[in-house]
Amino acid sequence: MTHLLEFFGRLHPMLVHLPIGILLLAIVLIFFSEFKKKKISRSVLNFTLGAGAWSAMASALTGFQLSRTGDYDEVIVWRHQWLGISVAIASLVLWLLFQNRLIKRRLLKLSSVLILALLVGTGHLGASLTHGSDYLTEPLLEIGKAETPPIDFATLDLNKTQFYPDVIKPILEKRCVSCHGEGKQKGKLRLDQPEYILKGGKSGKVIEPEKQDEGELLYRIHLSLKDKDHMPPKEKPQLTVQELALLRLWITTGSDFSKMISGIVSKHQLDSALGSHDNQAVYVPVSEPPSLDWNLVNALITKGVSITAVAQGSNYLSVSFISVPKEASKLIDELPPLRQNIIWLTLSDCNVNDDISPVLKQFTKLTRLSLDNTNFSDKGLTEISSLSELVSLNLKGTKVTFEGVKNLVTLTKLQDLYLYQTKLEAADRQTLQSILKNTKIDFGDYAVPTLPTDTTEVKPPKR
Amino acid sequence: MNSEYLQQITRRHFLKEAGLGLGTLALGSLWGCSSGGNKNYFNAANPLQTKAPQFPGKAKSIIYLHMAGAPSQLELFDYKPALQQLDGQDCPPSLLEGKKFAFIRGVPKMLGPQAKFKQHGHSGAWISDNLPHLSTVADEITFLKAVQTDQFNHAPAQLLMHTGGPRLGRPSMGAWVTYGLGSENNNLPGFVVLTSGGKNPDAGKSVWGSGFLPSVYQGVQCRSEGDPVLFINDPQGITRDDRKASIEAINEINQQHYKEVGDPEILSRIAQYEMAYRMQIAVPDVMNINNEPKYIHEMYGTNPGKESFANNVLLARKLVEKGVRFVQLFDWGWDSHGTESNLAIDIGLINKCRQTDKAVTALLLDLKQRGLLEETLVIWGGEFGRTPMAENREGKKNPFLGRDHHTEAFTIWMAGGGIKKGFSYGETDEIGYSAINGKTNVFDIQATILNQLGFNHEQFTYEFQGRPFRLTDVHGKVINEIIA
Repeated sequence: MTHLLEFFGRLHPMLVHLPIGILLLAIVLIFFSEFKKKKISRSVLNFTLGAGAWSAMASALTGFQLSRTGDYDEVIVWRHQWLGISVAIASLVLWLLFQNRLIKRRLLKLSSVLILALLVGTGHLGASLTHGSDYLTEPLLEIGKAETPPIDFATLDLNKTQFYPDVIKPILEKRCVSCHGEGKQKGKLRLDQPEYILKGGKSGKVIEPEKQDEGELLYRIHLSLKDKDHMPPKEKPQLTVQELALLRLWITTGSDFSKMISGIVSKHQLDSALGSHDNQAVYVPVSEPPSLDWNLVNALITKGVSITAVAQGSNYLSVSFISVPKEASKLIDELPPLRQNIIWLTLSDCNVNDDISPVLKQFTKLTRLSLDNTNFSDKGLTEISSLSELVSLNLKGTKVTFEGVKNLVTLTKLQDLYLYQTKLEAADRQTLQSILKNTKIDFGDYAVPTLPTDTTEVKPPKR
Repeated sequence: MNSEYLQQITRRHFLKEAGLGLGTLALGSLWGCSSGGNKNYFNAANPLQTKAPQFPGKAKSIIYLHMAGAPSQLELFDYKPALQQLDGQDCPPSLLEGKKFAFIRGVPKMLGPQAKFKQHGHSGAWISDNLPHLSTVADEITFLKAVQTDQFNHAPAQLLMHTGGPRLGRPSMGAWVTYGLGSENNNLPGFVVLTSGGKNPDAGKSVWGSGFLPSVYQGVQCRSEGDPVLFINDPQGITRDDRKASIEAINEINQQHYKEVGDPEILSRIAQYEMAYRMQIAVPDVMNINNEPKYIHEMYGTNPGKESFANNVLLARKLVEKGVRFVQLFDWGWDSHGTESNLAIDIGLINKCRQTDKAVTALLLDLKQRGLLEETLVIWGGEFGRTPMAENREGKKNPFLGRDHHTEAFTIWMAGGGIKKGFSYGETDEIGYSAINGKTNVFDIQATILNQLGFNHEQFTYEFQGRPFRLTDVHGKVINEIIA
């Protein structure tokens, strides 16, 4: 029986539209006949009023049933309920009076205006229950306000942004609060205020402070869309991948309501949760490069050059001649059409020398360059000191000397420089380091001394 | 269609073609229907061609030093002075209740640390005097001191560590990585395995197997004495030209067959033959440590011509230098139960340290001076840890000092590849029995390794038997705390 009643309750959202339409029609007819001085058939008006009154009764009854599920804000429901009942009673009385010719024309008009007012009031409250109390006025409130742009996490100051108020609350408001808010409280759950979020709903707490990975909220937003418990319901707008990741990060880090982001997670954690990665750390420029000629790329791959995008979907390339060290000096001449795209270049162990520097210096986007174990020397190095984006330069086993390397002072972004087994005098190391102040220079020559214990064994005691 | 041709098509022929046709259909539907862009992607004609990671990775290669048998964290990195106080006392029942050990029965005695500890480097890392060389490079390393596993026997624990599951059948980490990134060098395998200590790991070759991934991604086991790869040299009387001609002939036949049936596995086969031919030259060259200079041999402490861990470590550096993606080392002999002297915590363990310490340290420094440490992630560890209690096998005291297998806390370290330098993460209780904070597990380590290479472990999948599989199954969190 309760299920049947619940079913009737759910007819309410459909039935409510009947009295609104029919009673409005009745009111229009009453005034229409007045202004146009045209007689409207009495029986038509009588029928319209009657139908309006009965549908209003039906709406009120189903509505009462629906309100008993308790998913709604009590105050608004109470007002909506009594206004709805008064619409039903008023229209019924009016119809009975009209049918029995007990009402004068003027009074008829007056009471129809009253019903109109009741109707508008009830309708508005009903809509507030379904769509949220600020549904109607929300766009108006936005007038004059600058549109809030989506948060750009790349430039966000984590020390000045609060995780809950600035990031999580807007997501909850956008995706959840229309059903779990002040107006509608599906499953007796509200997600519009911290205290309600912590309180939970019909099926208990939605965030488990002890078991952060297991709360109902986290569980439901991660369910498959096919699952009936999935939230938001599948017919409603869904959380984006980013919103999902942010919610998960916020909950699994302890769902704090006041701290700044930096007090809760590191930049790296945030980046990896969002799937955006700190590209600076691996020397990938922020801006995307021009599209590239994949035919040329594939042709070079066939010739044995290893060419890969630095990430799926990126037009930045990593190029290595490791499989074709002997052909490198020739093949490198085919690379210049890709000069805007190549950011990592490995020429380790290749038979190249200073002659490639005119080609090399065209690759102005290079951030990593490995020339180790090549015949590169000071002459070439001076030419490529214009590659101002270089972050890492490997000159291990080349013929460079102090005179050449000191020219790298122009490379302001250079972080790592490898000079093991070069012609650089040990005495010049310190001078060089003082010239290239911001660069970590590795001169190598590490030794691991052989200790007596390295070659002896511990023997078990003799018995 | 003439009748002569029809006569050639026998019932057997029909069954064969039908089988293939249906198989191809099924394959097509498997590929076509997989949802959400998780399609298996590799070029059958060149399965080891380099591929872009999901995001720019900090590391390009991995060197995984697995100390098979499980070294004792309590004699190497996890310094527990409080355990010394309890030395020789009965283990409190609270540590034994509801627990299972591989060998300990009844009530064992507590065993204090059998090594002297000191803090090293600016980071103040605790390292025992068993590792005098590694102590000098403590500031290059991140120690994970609260790693946990749920397998207390060698084979399943090794499988879990390397394949993400304790049972046979899943691809190993190296196979996943080679599948995901390919190999930079066309003339060398992408995934090389080197073993030492006189024994292969307990879990056998499955710890470097390819599981359900195409078999081309399995680890290639190379030997450090004799031919590096078995049967790599041409047999006597066969010249390189003969070999070339025969491979060309085989490939031509395969090419024709491919035109008939269009099975991409045939292209894969052709590519394998060609690669094997190129490898015949490249592998012996890179696997030959004799042309390394003397000071390098001194640095690593190698023993040319013998099977040794130090040789393997030097090879690992050479391979990574030549663009090999994943080098997996297994060194047997760390199973310090105390049942015999070379498995004693105060004898055999020390000797194992002496065999490996210099080479491991040399590896880090050598990679560093070659500019390779930034892009090579080095991992050192066993498959589990060892108990703070002395082992009493079947309730009886062992002849030597030893510890049993322990799953609840052990130490693994990482260096290079975008991991913090001079850092320690995780902590155990005062006797080193349980992890108390900064807990990590095997899956977290796998997730972190994939992350450093540019993969989100949750999205790096392979469709098999109708569902996407991942290395970390349904587990694992990237250990963000240790990333530089």
